[in-house]
Order: sequence, then structure tokens, then C-alpha cells
Amino acid sequence: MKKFIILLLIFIPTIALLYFSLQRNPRELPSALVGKQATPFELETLEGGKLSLEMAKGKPLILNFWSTWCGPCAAEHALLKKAHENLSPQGVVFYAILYEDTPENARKFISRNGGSVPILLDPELKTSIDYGVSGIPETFFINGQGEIRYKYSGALTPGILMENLSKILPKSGGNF
Amino acid sequence: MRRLLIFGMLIFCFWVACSKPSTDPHERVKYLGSQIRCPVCRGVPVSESPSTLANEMMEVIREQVAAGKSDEEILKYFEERYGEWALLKPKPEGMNLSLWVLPVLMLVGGGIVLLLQLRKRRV
Amino acid sequence: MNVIVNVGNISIILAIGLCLFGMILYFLGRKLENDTALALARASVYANFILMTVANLAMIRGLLINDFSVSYIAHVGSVETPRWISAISLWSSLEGSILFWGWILSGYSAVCIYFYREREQKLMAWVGITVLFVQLFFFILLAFPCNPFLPVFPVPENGPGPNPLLQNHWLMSIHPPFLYMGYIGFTIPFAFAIAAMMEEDLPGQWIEMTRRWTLFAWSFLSMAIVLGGWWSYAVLGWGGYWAWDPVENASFMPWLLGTALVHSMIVQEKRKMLPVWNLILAVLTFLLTLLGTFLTRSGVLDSVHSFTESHVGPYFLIFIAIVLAGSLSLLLWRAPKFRSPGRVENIFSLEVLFLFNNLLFVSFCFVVFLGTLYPLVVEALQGKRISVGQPYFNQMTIPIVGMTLLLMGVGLMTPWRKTDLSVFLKTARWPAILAVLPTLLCLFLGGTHPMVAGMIYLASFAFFVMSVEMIQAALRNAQNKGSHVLLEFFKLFSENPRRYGGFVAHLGILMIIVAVVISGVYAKDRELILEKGQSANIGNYTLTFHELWSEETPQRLEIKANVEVTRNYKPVGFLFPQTNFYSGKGDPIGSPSVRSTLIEDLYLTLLNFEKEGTKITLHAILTPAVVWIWIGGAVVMSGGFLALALGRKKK
Repeated sequence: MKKFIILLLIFIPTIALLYFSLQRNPRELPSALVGKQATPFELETLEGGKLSLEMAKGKPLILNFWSTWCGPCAAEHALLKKAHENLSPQGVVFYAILYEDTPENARKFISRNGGSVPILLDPELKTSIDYGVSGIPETFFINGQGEIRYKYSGALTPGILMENLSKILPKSGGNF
Repeated sequence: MRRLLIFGMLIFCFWVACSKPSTDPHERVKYLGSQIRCPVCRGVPVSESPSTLANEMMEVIREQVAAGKSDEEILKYFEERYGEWALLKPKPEGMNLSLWVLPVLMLVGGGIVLLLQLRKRRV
Repeated sequence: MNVIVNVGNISIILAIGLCLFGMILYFLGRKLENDTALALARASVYANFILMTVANLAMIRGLLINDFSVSYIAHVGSVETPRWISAISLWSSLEGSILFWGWILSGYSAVCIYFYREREQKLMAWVGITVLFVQLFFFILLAFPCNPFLPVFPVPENGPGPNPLLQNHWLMSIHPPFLYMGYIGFTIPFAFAIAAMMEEDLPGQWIEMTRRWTLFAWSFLSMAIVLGGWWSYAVLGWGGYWAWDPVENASFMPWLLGTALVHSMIVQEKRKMLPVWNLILAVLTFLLTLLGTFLTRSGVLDSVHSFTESHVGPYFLIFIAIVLAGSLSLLLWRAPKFRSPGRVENIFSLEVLFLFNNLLFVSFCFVVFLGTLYPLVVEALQGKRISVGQPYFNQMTIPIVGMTLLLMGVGLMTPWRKTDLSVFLKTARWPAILAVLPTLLCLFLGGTHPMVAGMIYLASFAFFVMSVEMIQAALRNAQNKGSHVLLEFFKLFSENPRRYGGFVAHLGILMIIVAVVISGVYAKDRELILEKGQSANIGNYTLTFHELWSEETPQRLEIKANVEVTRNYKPVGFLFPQTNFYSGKGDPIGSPSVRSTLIEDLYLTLLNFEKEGTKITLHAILTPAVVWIWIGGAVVMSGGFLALALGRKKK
């Protein structure tokens, strides 16, 4: 009887652990920043102006990190463009921070695909590191009080965008 | 018995001596860089990773060291943004302590058990 | 009519059938003590080897002729890939590597069964059943989730070529085969352990029969691990060779237990002790090879080696569960019946030191095991992601290595059964004194770190223990026989190959440890931004960037930088760090350019460059003594083979 218990004590945790290990995706990193205050930043835009976190204060902010050489970013670009056109009149701010890429590439991309979301430059990746960005595309959903409510890694889909948008809209929010 | 104890103490002193940090800024940057996991090339620390992100993270470390931040503050900065995952050395608290306790138990405990069994000439 | 597809699949299906057939025949043959059944069972083991050979050769042929109608070849082949890389693509991706695994496993099985075809029929029946069972698992993998012989229609014109990381270096051609020869080799002692427990007999016999097989597999695994580190160093561009990456740890754990096993088997042989412990070790070593393969192949742990990720996880899990349950049950219910006739006579004896050797290696393995799996445990229990990396592993393993070094020196001069303290001290006197010299030299050259000095002393002590013994023996023989000392020295190897071959293997380990310590502590690195014609210094070297140019090969676009190197202001040559762009494969892969000497390596990677070729960013690393790690690995393997090859003559 004792031996049987030893057998189970070794067998069950080992196999359970290995089974568990198969269920998870090791490359996904849950964001450590959810629930925390967004770090202030002020960056130059592609046109030469300046945009900051401060300027989006009081409004829901969708902060997207992207580059021209990343396939999924190109895929979500159209979605973001449309969302920006529909939602910014209603008070939602969109910023697209360029990650590990050059302004020239961004300009070429915009002239080819069109753009409306303001593009911010982060040449030394300081802001990207400040937001714990490890790959792109990554999108942060920040509410009017500056709290990061959600981070999504990967190309946005309409479903994911709308679902997390509702997390950052003011409670009284209108229809979207 | 006494010799064994002295021997053990020597080893312990070696061990401690090897993990002492330095105050030279260049050394500190290298040390801190070796403690942060690169989010792109995930097998290596940012001090050794060839990726751009890692290089910029080293730059951030350099700036913070120059600004007078302490080792703990700098490590916490990265932990807050990338999660506890970014720390290559697990925080010695709570359940993590088993990482150090269990092997020592095995080595020392095993050694004691072995000696006792040998005394009884039973192997 | 796709020849290769059909040949491959038929071979695999037949092999599965023969596994079942063979297992049944072995069982019946054993139960009914029927020689014919046993002979037929053996034949099925031989036949499986032939089938695997056919399948593998078919695949190699397909790779060489770029037959894209075969799924694996369509997956890894391409018209642009050079011939030799096409051939070694056999093991570059999952399905092919399992096919290769099947070949080596069936080969080991066939040779083992043939070698022992006239001995211990009852024991060998169970050995046969076990190896066939393991083969069955891998053949099932080959037939279903990892089938490399699926037909592809329509037949593509070209393939994507093997993973770029695997195309950069010739080491790719030998690291996996060596690794497999090591890993898979441990199936044999495992099979014998199972057999011994099933037969409840021959507690010592099985060890004597598998001792050489274990040493053989161990030698390959030792070299394979060093080759892996070398490849990582030469190819990946981060200048290091060991990162305590989960996949590296996966190969290291069986090596650690395998080393313990090689030593404890000797205790059984010489002193008839530790029968149960040897069973446990043989089983655990094999289980760790399975676990290692599971971790590597299923992608459950974040790793640099993620090119091996796939869907075979669940299959391996089931197999591991079966093997774990089966062998654990046998160990719990049958193994304790084995009693050791030998007894420890004295604490100051080699058998006791071997026990401590085992304790150290098992603890070492436990540290690696714990560190590798702990993040999974935390995630399962607390839901958060943490890392256990180099700082932890280095901190925990350095003291263990130090203790092992000390034990090595002491053990190499301790006899079996018992020794006198005064005799012991007398033997230790000269080596202890001589070892001071290299330590002083090290301190003089600037190696003042206490850990480094300590390791150098202990390693030198072990070295001199071996040298003093061999020189004294040679002198004695020369005097007695009236011949030359040098001749007698070399003849020592043929007179006692096991001991002195073992010395060579230990010497290799010493070289590796010392080289790792020195290269780890005293490496220098700098990031240099150079404009055309500009120079910068690192250590005694001056680097001058001359030119940036590009070359196009069918598989890739290479951007190379010409950097002139001078040492102490004397010209030494040129290095060409480069970045390779593979069409359609995403990120560029850098190829470091290394200048290796016996003293140090100068390692350059091209981090960045301006397209016009006006400026480059170099990462320069100066690492002392690195080559001695690779040389040490070869010495370890040679020592193992020396002990094996010459040992046979005695019979």
C-alpha cells in the first residue's frame, strides 16, 4: 500500500505538470502594466509636431505600437484607420508609435496605404521600453483617467478592438 | 567532523565572494544587463542579446545608472513593465525560496544520510 | 507512383508490425522457453534496422535530388541549397529527425541483440521487448503525426529551404548525430535494467553487460553537448556558448545522471554494490532523455531553440506516462529484492567516494531540473510567469563544480576497499604542492578572482594526481623492463586502458571546466561604431573598418564588412562579420567572424550598418581560452573511446 502511494505521489504531479505545460503558450507574456497608470511621454510626430499622453488626458486612448516591416501590423493598419475615422469624432484618441523603424519607411507606407492615425516617432525605443513592448503589433487600451485597462499582443480584429474599447469608454458612453 | 565544517565554511565564503556586486558604473551596467531577460531573444540576457530592443534596454540601464538609481530601482523598473518574467534571477521570496533550499537540502541532507548509512555499513 | 513516398511508408508500417510481432515472439519464447520463437524475435529486430535503413536512405536520396513530391522534402528542401546541406537536412526538422532517431535506435537495438544473441536468453528476451516497445513509439510517431513521407500534390517547383540558422555552419552536420548517438544509446542500459527487474535476476550481470554501451553513449553525449555549445557560439552571434536554455538543460540532465551511472556501474562491477541504485539511475537517465526530447520538441518552454517546436507533445506525454508508471512500479515492487553481496569496509575507500560523486551529480542534475521546470510549476500554481536564468544556475552550480573537482582529485588517487590516512596524504603531497604552480601563474597573469584561483588549484591538483601516478608507473616499468620511460608511458594505455582512458576523459573535463571558468570571468566586450577607415581598440587588438559590400548567393544576400585586425600593432589578418538576408524568411541572421587562437578568441558581429557603407556598428568580444572547451570535449570523447576500444583486447 505504501508503495502504491509513493507511485502516485511521483506519477501524478509529474504528468499533471507536463500536461499543464502543453496547454499554455510560452511566447505570450501577460502585461504587467494592466491596472497601472500609463507612463507619460511626449514624442515627435511624422509631420514634425509633438503629441503627448497629457494631450489625451480625460479621453479614452488607443495606443498602438507598429512598424512597416511587420506583416500583422500592415494587416491591422486598415482597421485602425477606419476605427480612427469613426471614433475620433466621438472623443477616442488614437496614437500609433513607430517601433524600430525609420520615418522614411513610415512615409512611404502612408503614401501607399493612406493613413489618418497620427504617427509618433520613438527612435531610441525609450517609450516602447517604458510600455514593456517586446514585439509588435501591441495595442494598449487606456481610459480617461490614464489607467491601462488592457494590452493586446498581435494584430487587432474588429471584435477585439470593440470588446476592449468598451473597457476604456466612460460609463455613460454613447453608441458605437 | 571539524575539518568538514571548516571546508564547508570555505566553500560558503567562496560562494559569497563570487556574488558580490561592484560599484564601478560600467560593471554595474553589465551586471544589471545580465539580470534582465531579453524579450526578443528570450534565451539570453539583454547584455548579450544582439537584438535592437536589447541594445536600447542596455541604453536605458546606462542612463539610469548615470542618474544615480540603485540596482533594486532599475530592476524594479523593468519588472513593472515586462513583468516578473524579465528577472533572470527569481525573487528570493515565498515559494521561490525552495529553489535554493531544496538543492541544499538534497546535497547536505543526502550527505548526512550517506554518512550515517556508511557508519552502519549498509549500502 | 511515388517511389520514395511508398518505400518510406511501407517501411514504417512493416516496422510497426514487426515491433508487435517481435514483442509477442519474445514473450512467448521466454514463457515457453522456445528457441525458435526467440530466434524469430531477434530476426524482427534485425529486420527493423534494415527497414529503417531503407527508409532513411530513401529520404536522403529524395533530399539530394530535390523530390518535392515528398512532404518533408517540400518542407525543408530547395533547389538553391547546396548538396551537403540538403543531405544533412535529414535531421534539420522534426519529421526527418524522428526518422533519423528511428534509424539510430533500430541500429543500437540490432547490434545489441546480435552481440548478445547467445547469452542470457531470458534476460535478453526482456531487453528485446523493451527496445521494441520504445521503437514502436517512435515508429507510430513516424506513421502518424511526424510522417515525413506524405505525398504532396500538386508537386511544388521549389521549397523554402532549411531554416537559415541551420544553414550557416558545418557544425550543423555533426551536432545532431552525435547528440542522438548519445541520447538514444541510453535506451540500452534502460532496457537491461527493465529486463533485470522483470527477471528478478542477475542484479549484477545486467550492469556488466551494459557498462560499455553506457560509456559509449556517454562519450557521444559529452561531445554532442560541447558541439552544441560550439555551434551556438559560432552561429548565433551573442558570443556565448551556454545560456542555461531549457533545451541545453534538456541535454545536460541525462549527461549528469549518465556520468553518475558510469561511475556507479564501476562500483557494482568491482565491489558488487549498489544494485538497486544502478537500476534507479539507468531508468532515470532514460526518462530524462525522454523528458528532454519532450521539452525540446513540444515547445513548452521559451527557448532560443524554438525552431524545433511542434505538435508531438501529447504523444510524448503519453509515452512518458507509460514508461514512468511501468519503470516506477518495477522499481518499487521488484528492485528492492536485489541485495548487494558487497559491503563497505572502510569509509576511506573509492567506493565511498563514488557514492559522494553520485550525490554531487544527482544534486547537480536536480538543480538543473528544478531551475528548468520551476517556472512551469509557478505558472500552474500561481498563474504568473517568472524566469529562472543564468544568475541562478551559475550561482548554484559553481560550488557543486568546485566540490566535484576536489572529489575528482581525491578519488583519482584512492584505491578500492580501504586506504590509510598516512598513505593517502603521502600520495597527495606532490600533486598538492605542484598544483600551486599553475595557480601562481594564473594569479600572475591577472586571474585574481578567488573562484578562478580556487578552480585552477583544484583542477591542477587532479591533473597532477593523474600525471604523477602515470609517470611513476612508467618509470617503474621502464626500470623493471629496461626500456625507455616514454615508451612505457604510452604502453600504460594498452596495459590498463580502462583506468588510463578514464584519466584522459577526466583530463578533458578538467580542460573544459578551466576553460569555462576563465572564458566566463575574463571575457571583454565592446560595442564599436566605426566609420570607413576608422579604428578602435579592444584588449591588445586594433580593429579598422575598411569596407562594406554585398554578395548574392542563390539562397541569400550577404552583407559583409571587411575589418582589419592588428595585435600589439602587428597585422594579424582580416575578419568578415556579416549579416545574411534570406528571401522570404523574415529577420536577417548575422554570422559572426571569429579569430581563434589557443589563447583567446576575437569575436566580431555586425550589429548595424549604413546602406551606403559609410558606418558600421560592431560588437567585439575578446574571450580567452574558449577553444579549449571544444578541444576538451574531443579529449573527453577520446578518453571514453580509449577506455572502450582497448579494453576489449583483454577478453
